[in-house]
Amino acid sequence: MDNVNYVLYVCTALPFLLALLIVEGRSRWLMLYLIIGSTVCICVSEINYLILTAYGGDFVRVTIMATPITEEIIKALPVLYYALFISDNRKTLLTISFATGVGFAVLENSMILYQNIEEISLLWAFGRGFGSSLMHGLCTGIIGIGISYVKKKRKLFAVGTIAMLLMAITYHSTYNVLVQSQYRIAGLLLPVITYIPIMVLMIRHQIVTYNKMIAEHEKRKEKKDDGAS
Amino acid sequence: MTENINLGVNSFLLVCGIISIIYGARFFKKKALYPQIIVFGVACLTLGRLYNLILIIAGKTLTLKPLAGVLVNDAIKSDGTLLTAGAQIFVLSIAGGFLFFLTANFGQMDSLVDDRTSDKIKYRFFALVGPISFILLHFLKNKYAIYNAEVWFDPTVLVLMFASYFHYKHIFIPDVDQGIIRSIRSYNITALSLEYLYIISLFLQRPQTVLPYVIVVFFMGVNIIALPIVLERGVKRWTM
Repeated sequence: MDNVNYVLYVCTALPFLLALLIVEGRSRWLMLYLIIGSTVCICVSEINYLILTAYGGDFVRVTIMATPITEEIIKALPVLYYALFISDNRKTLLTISFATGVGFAVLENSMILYQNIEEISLLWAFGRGFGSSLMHGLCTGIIGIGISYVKKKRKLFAVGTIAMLLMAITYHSTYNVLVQSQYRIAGLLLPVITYIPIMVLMIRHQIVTYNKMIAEHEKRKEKKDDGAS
Repeated sequence: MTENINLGVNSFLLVCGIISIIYGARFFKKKALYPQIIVFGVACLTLGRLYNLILIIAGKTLTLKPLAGVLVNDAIKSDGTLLTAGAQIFVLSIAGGFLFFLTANFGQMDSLVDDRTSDKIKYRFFALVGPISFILLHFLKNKYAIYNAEVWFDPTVLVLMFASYFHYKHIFIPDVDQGIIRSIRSYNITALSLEYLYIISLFLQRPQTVLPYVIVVFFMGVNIIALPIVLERGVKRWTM
């Protein structure tokens, strides 16, 4: 039998790849970075396998102290490429970063599902679906904030991105410790708890921006009307 | 050092960090990036404490395979002090936290306050007191401390060396026209003392020095809470 990880990768990436030909504009980049996220996952799985062998197959130890570091560094690379060669617009970059994380999580969840096929349940699926996807999305998103300064402020980018990376590694490792311990539920809830306030703040920001835009539009309209009369 | 003390210390610093983050959240309403980076730094330090706390509580339920003859379950040693299987991540989080402080001063503020002219060279030389003191403290720590003593060069110390250089420089350098440096002087003093307290706390992590250790940790907590408060006064001045 072929390597199952690669079979899962093809199953996950191919539909996205086909959709990539149909969608346009920003959605195309989003779709592409979902595929890139999955590709990063397959690359990282090979590296993690080497580390696992070096540590005598101690899965728990490796997931606590090594995989958060390898995964976060490699996930950041496509985001850095986007910022350097395509656009360093913060909003786009955050979307791209989040998509990379989610793409990574999609394949990772499939791999873990296959490895634990006899223990899985619908509850497990919800837990992994929310927990793992949000965790990977948030971690790559955090790094994306630092990377967005790559062209504007080099000094800030150089030091700030490493700081963001270390923060993401700590967050990832915290999640991994919790998920493998007796407090699994807390692990799955951690990304959700982090995501909700960020989401609320973003929605509030969007509402404020939208209201400002409407107010400005009305002002302009009033001025135009006054001029005409 | 008992497990209870470790639990207490990490919980206390976690609570202090959360208070500091909640207070510092107001900086995100304004556009000033400098205080926002500092709040990120406090968040990273707090996340490290959360990680350590979780490792103490949940680490007991993790079973690790023996590695080169060490304990079967070495997430927590019998005395509850050495967290070998995940301590590196905690060290990285502390380094990350202080790296944010360095980012704020080096990436955001330094170009505004130091115009690279020769009349400020004495302040640049004087600021070397920071890196030198941290190198000395690091090697002393390696000689006398129990915790983390086997690490010949802690990445946190490297970050602290650079961060302290800018803290010293920004404390003593003469003010520019807008009075920015004066307004953040108290922040730089607070951050610098937090960095020294951190490295001193590594010395004191031993069963014989519980009380001094707890006192140092208390002051670390006070400094963490004070960071956004002293920073706010500065921010108010330059965003007026």
